Amino acid sequence: MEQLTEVFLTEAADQLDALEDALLALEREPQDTATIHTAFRAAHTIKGSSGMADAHAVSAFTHAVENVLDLMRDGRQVPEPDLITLLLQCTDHMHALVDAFAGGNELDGRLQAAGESLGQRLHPWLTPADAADATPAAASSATAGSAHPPAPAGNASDCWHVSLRMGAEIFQRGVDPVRLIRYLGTLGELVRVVTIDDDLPELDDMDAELSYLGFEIDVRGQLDAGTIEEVFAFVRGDCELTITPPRLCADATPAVEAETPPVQATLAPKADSGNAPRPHGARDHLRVDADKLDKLMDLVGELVIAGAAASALSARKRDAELTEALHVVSRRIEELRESAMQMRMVEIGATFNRFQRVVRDLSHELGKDIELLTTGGETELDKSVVEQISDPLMHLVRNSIDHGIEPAELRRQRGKLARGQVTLAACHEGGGIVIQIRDDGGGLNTDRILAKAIERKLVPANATLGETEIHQLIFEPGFSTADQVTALSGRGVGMDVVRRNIQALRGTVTVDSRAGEGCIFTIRLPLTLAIIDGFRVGVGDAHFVIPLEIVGECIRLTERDSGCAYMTLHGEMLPYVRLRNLFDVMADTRPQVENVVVVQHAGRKVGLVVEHLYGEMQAVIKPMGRLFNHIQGLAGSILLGSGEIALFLDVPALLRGVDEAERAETLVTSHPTRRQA
Amino acid sequence: MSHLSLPPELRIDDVAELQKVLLEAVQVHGCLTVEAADVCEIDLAGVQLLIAFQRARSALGAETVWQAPSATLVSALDLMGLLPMFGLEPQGETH
Repeated sequence: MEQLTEVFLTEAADQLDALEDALLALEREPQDTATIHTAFRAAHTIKGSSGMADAHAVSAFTHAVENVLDLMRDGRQVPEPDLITLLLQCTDHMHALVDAFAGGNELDGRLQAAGESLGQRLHPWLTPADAADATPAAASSATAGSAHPPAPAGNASDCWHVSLRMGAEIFQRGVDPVRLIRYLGTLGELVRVVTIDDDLPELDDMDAELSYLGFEIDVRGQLDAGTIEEVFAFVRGDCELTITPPRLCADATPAVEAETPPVQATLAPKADSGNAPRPHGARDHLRVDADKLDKLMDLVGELVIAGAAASALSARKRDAELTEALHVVSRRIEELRESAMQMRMVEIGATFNRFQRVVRDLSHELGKDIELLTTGGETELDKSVVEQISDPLMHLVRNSIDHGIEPAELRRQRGKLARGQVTLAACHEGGGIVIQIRDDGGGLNTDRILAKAIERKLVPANATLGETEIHQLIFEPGFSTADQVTALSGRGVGMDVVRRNIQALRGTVTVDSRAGEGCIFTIRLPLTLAIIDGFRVGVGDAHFVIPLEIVGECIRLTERDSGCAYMTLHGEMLPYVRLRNLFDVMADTRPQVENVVVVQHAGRKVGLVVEHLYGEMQAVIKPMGRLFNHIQGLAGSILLGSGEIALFLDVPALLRGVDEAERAETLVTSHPTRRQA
Repeated sequence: MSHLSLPPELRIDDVAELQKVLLEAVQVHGCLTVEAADVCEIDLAGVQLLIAFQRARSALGAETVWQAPSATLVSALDLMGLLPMFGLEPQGETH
């Protein structure tokens, strides 16, 4: 049953997201019946699968939610804002119940009390269900071809009839039909169950591990074919299931077996059942354990290294045929790497959608009217990046709502729409991804930031900084400008943590603000963390690798330029740094030739001066280990085919280093006294 | 009169072993008492095996007494409408 639990947990997470999305959409467009149906289906599926997985607390609670949505579906309940709020809280509670179930925890008192309180609040929204009195009808008798005496006579006319014939190998699939029948009994009243053992061989002939049984079940209650079908969804491919609605049963009485009933929902194995919802994930998708993908990626990484080693060897041996053969191999490895990486790519839209709820709740809390727009949700990036970007995004979105968007009154005075807008946007740019959090609020208060930065001694009192430079100060450790410390943000921990988290992903974050117009936070991230296309360069005996996508061009450093920190390139000033100096590379001889690799990041260019240009390579990046944490500008190590180690350059960090050096220069210039000292 | 004790677990993983035991027990002449108080886990594979056993006993005209069946067993048989086949009565409680 563990498999069943796992399927349930995955499905529950998806369906709870779907339910929440639908509720939020309903809040915006209460008339949308399609959305009501979506919400109902999600609740319905959660109830069904939780019941089957024995997560009874979940199914019991979801039942009430489903009932309210059912009334809504029938037009007997209106999705009023209060009700939506309550249902969203119920969704949260369902999340908590699922988590408790996943952790194998008993419900604690708090959770139980929360459930009861929500149940009570839901109660008024449940108009009394239609009385399910059935008119008495002739009792049916069991005519199933088994040797059993008939079960207590049920009143079949108001019963659904379910006829189930199990496939022989159903036990091997880890499904116990007894549990499914028991679960059906929680949805309605099991009036009669007859076990059909006609096909059961003699004890000495049977294979005890195969199934030979069938069931004829009469069940009464507020059911529909879809509900019953879903009870047996897990075994749908392995059994014959025939569901006959109440009145047809009555007509067909006493033909319990109903071989060819006139109209009925016959669900043959593999048959696609019209408008009934298909179980999630049954399409052309396959759920794969994330660990397996990680393992695959590791193997591909090893293969890339081994391939490079073989190529290096063949190049040394000068064996043309071998080199040719290895060339083909390495092309295939590259394709393999591409598709392995592709498998790990997920759309960022799902992450964006989660913020709908955050924005809704926070704006209610603050009494602001804010809508969240998203664009570029289909942009894909590595799943590990998506997972790790969620927290920084959360902080930035909260920040925009809390500090960015002004109160409605102020917005009106400024001639803006009362409703504020926060936009989450994503797009690809130069082998990486750019995520922006935009708001149309008041923008950053440049004066206040500078004042605060001076007060906290982040910059000297008489520093002359440009507006953009001042804005970036909000990412400095211990910086917070909120006049009021609210529950949402502004506790002084924040932007620096955001920046650190993003830097840990080899990304950068910048802010662009216009007073009175709004603020844009721009996050740039690499698509993946594990394997990249790199450009290998050398200084002395040391090897360095630069991400290929940021390499603009390579040029020879001329004598004329070699003395200063700037050179002219295409008529522009290009600052450059010597890797030899930067990393203190020891080499006996001064290089004959120096090359400049022009790298480009976040719209800035800088030249890296190196001695050897080795060319493109696929690089598997390994972490450096804590010992090297203090070294700025290195993001990892790479094992080369020759067995040597190359260092992976963290270009954003290098650029920061150049910036800081420049700033220090500026500061020193503005402090002539210090320069003398 | 002979005795047979059912193990606590009668599930898909246990049925192959149990089938051997039951095959011998079918041959017992006269009344056989099946001690069923220990059964705490049973799935449909287990129930199916018991049905086959009970049918085989009945076919031989041999009496079988299900002694002190556990609540788990009674509940499972009751759910499937099988109590009369085993000469058992529903218990007050289920689950």
